[in-house]
Amino acid sequence: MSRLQWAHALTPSSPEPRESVYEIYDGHFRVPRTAVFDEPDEEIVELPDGRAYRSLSRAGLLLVAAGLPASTVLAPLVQTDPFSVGIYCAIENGPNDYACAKSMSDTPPDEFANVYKALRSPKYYFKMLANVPPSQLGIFLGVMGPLYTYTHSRLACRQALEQAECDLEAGTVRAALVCGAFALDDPLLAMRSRLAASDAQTLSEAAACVVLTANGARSDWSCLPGRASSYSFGIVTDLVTLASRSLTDAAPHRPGLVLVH
Amino acid sequence: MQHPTDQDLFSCIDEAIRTVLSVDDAPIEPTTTLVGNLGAESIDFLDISCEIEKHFNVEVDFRKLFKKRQAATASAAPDISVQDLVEYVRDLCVNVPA
Repeated sequence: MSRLQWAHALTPSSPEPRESVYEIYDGHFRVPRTAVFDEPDEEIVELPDGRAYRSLSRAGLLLVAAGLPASTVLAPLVQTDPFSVGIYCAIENGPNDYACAKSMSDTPPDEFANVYKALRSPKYYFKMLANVPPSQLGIFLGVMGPLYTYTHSRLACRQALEQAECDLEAGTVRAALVCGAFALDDPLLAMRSRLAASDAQTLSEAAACVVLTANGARSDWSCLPGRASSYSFGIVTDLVTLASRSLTDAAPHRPGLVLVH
Repeated sequence: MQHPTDQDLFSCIDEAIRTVLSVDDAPIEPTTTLVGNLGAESIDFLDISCEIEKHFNVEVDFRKLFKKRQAATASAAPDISVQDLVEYVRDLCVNVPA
């Protein structure tokens, strides 16, 4: 079984679930029972390089917020051999371009290209790519090992954990940063995740990150705790559960273990 | 159509650079260089060109500007100053058909 060296999870502090109302479509798009971080995107995390704000989605910013503190445990490894640390990420970015689409809806065809260009930035495309946030996190941490990104809405975390386990077992990496994030800024993604959760669950934004190292045996990540929680964290549910459980089981030899609300 | 003054151009380019490169406090002077002083990368040039295009409706081709600087300085890896950019955009605006 791999050793869980460090864990960090971010979940909103608001106790009461509320309806998320999306202004696009004139406020008709509503997702019930949600919990979101109160901070606007630019206040979620102070990025080491401010330029990255233009290319990171909200989920990406949450991922970086959860992963940056891992530098405390990864720095010695990264300084010795940056290729010995891998990143295994579960994240999905929706198109999140509805404001532009709405603005474009009444544009005459001959003006379409110019209006479209004026409404967007070349970096906007990066916000839609799932592998940009973990890549950016890797740049911030100085990690140069393998990078995997999984986007399956329910299995991505387990796929990330399995791949990390495989690489640790094979000796490809000495440490695995398994991370994921889920945000509710994209209404269609939020609605799909809402439908996948039970009616009693609160659909919550979250990010989580764990650092694993090898200890000679293989872990069976299929025995992660079930989803019978009062919260669903979308694609990152399994990882938040794992990180939270690790905090509960925290032993003195894991002083870096924190759960931040 | 009245052409923008150098001051208009500088203000707009200053704003575009600050927006794209997230430089809030650093002073941007005409002699400030995009790569050497501000750390701009290739995707930033594309981003800056789009921001400028939104204001002046001219297509800024940084590749041409770099080649121009390369020829002028005989340097293999030339850098572009804000003043170079102002002059280049000014020339583009002058050549825009009314």
